[in-house]
Amino acid sequence: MQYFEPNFVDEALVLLDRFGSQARLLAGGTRLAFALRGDADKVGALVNLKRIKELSTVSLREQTLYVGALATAATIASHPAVRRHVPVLAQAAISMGARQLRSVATIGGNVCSGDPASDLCVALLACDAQCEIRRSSSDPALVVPIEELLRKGQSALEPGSLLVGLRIQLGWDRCAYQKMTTRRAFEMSLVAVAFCCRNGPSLDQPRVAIAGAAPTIVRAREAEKVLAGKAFTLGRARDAARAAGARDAAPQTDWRASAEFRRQLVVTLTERAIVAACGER
Amino acid sequence: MQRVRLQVNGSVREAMVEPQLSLLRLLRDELQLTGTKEGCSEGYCGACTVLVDGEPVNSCLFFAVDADHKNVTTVEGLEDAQGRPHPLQSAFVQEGGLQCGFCTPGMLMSAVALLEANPSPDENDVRLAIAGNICRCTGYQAIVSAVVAAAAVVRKQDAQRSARERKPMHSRP
Amino acid sequence: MTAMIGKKIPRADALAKVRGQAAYVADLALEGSLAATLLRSPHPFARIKAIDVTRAAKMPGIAAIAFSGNTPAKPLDFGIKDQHLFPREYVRYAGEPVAAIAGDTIEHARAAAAAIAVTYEVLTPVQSIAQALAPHAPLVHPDWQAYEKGANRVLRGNVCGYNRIRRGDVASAFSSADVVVESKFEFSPGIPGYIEPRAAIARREADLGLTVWCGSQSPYSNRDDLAAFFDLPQERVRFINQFVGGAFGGKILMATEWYAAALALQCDRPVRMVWSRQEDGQNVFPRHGGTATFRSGARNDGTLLAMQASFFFDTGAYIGYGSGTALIATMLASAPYRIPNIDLEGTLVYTNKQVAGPVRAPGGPQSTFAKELHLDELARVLAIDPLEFRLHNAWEDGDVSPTGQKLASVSVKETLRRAAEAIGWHQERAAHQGVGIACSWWFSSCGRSQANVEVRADGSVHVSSGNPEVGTGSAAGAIPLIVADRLGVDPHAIVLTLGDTATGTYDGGVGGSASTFSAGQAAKIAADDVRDQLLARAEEALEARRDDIDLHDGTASVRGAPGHAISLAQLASQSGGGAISATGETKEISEPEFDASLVQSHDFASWLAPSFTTSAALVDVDAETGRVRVHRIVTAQDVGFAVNPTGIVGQIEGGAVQALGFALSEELLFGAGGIINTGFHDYLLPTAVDAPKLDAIIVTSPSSEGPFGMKGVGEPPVTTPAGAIGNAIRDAAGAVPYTTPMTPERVWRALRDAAR
Repeated sequence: MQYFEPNFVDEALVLLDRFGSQARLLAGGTRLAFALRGDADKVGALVNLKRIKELSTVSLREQTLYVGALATAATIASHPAVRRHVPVLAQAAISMGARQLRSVATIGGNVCSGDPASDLCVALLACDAQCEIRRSSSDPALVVPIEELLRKGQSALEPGSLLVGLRIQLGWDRCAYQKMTTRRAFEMSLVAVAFCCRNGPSLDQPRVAIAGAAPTIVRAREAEKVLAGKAFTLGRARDAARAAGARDAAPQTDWRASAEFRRQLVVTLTERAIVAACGER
Repeated sequence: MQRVRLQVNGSVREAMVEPQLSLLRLLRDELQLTGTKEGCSEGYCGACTVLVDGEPVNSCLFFAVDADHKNVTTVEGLEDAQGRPHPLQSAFVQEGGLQCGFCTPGMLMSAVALLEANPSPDENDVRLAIAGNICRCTGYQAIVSAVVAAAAVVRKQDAQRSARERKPMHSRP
Repeated sequence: MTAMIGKKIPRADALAKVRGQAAYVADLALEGSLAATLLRSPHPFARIKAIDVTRAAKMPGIAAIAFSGNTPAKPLDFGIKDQHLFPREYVRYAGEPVAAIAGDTIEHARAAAAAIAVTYEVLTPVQSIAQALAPHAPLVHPDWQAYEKGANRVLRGNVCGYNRIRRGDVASAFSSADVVVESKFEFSPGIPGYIEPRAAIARREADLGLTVWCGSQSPYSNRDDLAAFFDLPQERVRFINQFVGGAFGGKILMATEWYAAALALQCDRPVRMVWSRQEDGQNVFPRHGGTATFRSGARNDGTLLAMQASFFFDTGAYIGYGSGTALIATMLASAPYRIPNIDLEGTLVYTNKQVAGPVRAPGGPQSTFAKELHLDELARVLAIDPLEFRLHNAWEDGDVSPTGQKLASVSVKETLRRAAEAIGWHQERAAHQGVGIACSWWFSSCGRSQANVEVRADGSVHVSSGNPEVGTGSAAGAIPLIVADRLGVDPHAIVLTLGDTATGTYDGGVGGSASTFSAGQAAKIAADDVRDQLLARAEEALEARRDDIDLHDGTASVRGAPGHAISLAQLASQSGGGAISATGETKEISEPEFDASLVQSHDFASWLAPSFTTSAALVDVDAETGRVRVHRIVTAQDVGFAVNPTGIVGQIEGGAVQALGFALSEELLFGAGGIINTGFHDYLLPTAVDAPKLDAIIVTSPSSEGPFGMKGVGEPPVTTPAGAIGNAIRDAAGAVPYTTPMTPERVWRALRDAAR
């Protein structure tokens, strides 16, 4: 296995081009460490991205929060700009795993893993995050809505492309993240819901994202329709939640939870997320 | 093979490593620092927790190449230059914060990171900070008491140190 | 006298452990070691048609392969001779080791393992108790009729254990009862959950010798079994126990030790087998899963008249050390209550799963959960407060056990009252909060144990005990305390050597609430002997009478004349061998009498120095998600006499959180290919955020048999909290699932079903 530490995105792209499917990108490495234990000899090149400093930045640019693909969950959880402008992302980040995992796990790794329970991805979907993808040194970056990537799962990125960052529009002030697990910490969600909406007297552009009720992380558009443009009331929150459970959720039974229970959790967590985001403080 | 050069508990160490070697294997096998334990190999027990530039990480999932030019602290590095235990180590001993001791090194490292970030943690803060360190023996209560007790000792020591440092030169004996 | 006993002092091994200097097996590196791995069966049930190791044996770096073809054919004896070291004709669970391989590196060993050709004829597995007991069920042991077994063992098809306790006439008692309630329960299997995966290093020695470095609960019996199996002289086999990273009943029977030894005996280098978490998960000895049906009848005033209980436990592919679970479950089922008519039975069933084992308090959490939730149901039907109901029926001194054993030093009511008071039983609570209570009894064990105590000319005190230190503190906590107390020295000045079979101080092992009781007793006997010798010499040296001499701070001095003293060091140097020493051995304690006519096939019907425990829990239930938050667990435990309070509190608190896991989140899941959740990301042990505030109330009602009047400590703490939590859930939310773990989904369903 060859090992590379490119200093620039362009260098990384050249390596990806050269090694194709034999290349593995090392971001946080928490999944890769495990994956390599069996398959080390099938890997031609390990490309460590962490020297590319621009990939770890978190910054505000005009009306956008930019989160580099290598920003860790720990950084995202504590970064003042994230907590101020897109708190749902910080809430999702702090709910992940444990401190040791958050120190190392990256947002880019989460997005590209196809993990249907990724807390960060649920939050990103709810705030309409855009993915900045580079494919070659000559082409400009491609901007793809996160929904598209999440829909495709692990094969979302074309070979040879690199996710470099996420762009999130500011103004999602009313938001909340609700996560259900069996024990009270340190566990992937059974069901998780993120709710976001923009500022304003009525619920402007409500977004509900759900994990654990479909093969991938999805938007609950039926729930959103119930809320859009209306004022917040507890009754509406409940109706939206019921719509999410009845019409947006398509859960499966697995050894962790039945479809029926997952559906129930979608209803409860959606209602609680909306109330937490919009209700009286 | 890659050369890595890192600080471990204040000493510079060098090794040649395969790219996929974990920091845990580097510490235990290459550097013979067996204080850090392997409990699950998948980042879900915390027994392998060490600090890398002050951040707690599961060394079983951390790539040794990523430790290049970084400062790594393990349980062996907690005592002071005279070999006196860190206040956390003393508190664990006094408060009964360990039984079989296997989770203890990792638990201590998470606690060290907590006290760095938050010198006055309450019980809830402690529990959240060690959520990623599984203990099967103690039920956690004695561990939490130990960390809270150690925090008080560290605060006092830091206050005393600051007071000494603030004294103007001419008033020292 | 009691200067040290009862004091809260830090453990002797604590400093080494917090420094990262305590060595566990995987921390050892013997030069030239081979790395060992296992080839495991992918099938839950199959006939082995052929095993061909020839290609594997020739692969680079391979030093040894062990399998049925080159290891002794004698069966292992666990009361039923149903198992061999390596499977010979059938594999009976997915993950069962079929061969062991030692190579220069683990990669070499794994490559060779993959090259071993095993031809299987796949058979239909038995995957549940119901399947095992169905008519025409496949037999896990088709040749069961040919198996040798102990006289009291029951073996019939897929049933490999049965016991019954019967007194009075339950049928007519039920017909005269005012209320009869029946409840059915189900328990999932779980794991002991030690954080240190199993490991062992073995090295062949000259003259049929073998050294094994291990992390075992019972190195002496391991040594005996291994020597006998491989026909090695017992005195040539040495087990050197390291620190153990948790055991909880899962490290009594050998595992890695067997395989490392089998390989080491074929070659000249040490063989090191260190399991990963996932490997350990495949060969773990789980806590028994199973079912229980309870039926009880009572008068309107709450007096219990009759109880019928039936347990079925899934013991897995072999009997192993699993029989105790069913024996203990029936002994617990009607206890600690006065019930004149009882009919209690326990059945063990073979399935094609991992071999269930004696996980901390085997049968305890299961039986107590079922009984206490059942009795609460009965109390509610009677509209009697659950605490009052228990106090009304609980044992007192002079009552008899289910098997007719006369009971003394009965402290049930004290534990009930103190736990109830501590949890605030009668306080007002918020709508979705509830309290629950559960109580039980347990036994003490006195195993054979030896200890050696020696005072040397330099004043140092050396103690060796065979008792291994697996974390409970029986060794590193209690033994130094006891010796220090008897000799008047600082416990931290004692040099403690544990668990090396070469030092010759036998010990039956940690488990069965025995350690401090046994090893502590042996240490006390040895220390008392040394004390006697010291006083005799001091009498001469100080020209005083023994009764006027005190031992304290490493000296012997005349009371009232402190200057008139001599140090223990001087006393020792003046003696013949330059040291004063003694060996102590536990005395056989005769089992309490019981009424044998009340039991059928039960060889654990008499309980030594029984203890009593009550737990109470305060919980919050979120009905919409089924999530239970446990705010507090209080456990009042009668320990007879608190020799080592730090250790006792540690056991109570640790046991409470293990019980929390049993109650709410821990569940071992089996799929077609074996255990699904072999790792810690999907087997949910309680975290620090899950663990509640814990209160340990030490009750002391002395026993006549235990050293200082103590009773066994280690297991009771895990028996009662789950029942308390279950009862608290019902108190909070109106219903409770009768299945463990009470996961959010199960709680949600129970509440929903009750509302309909």
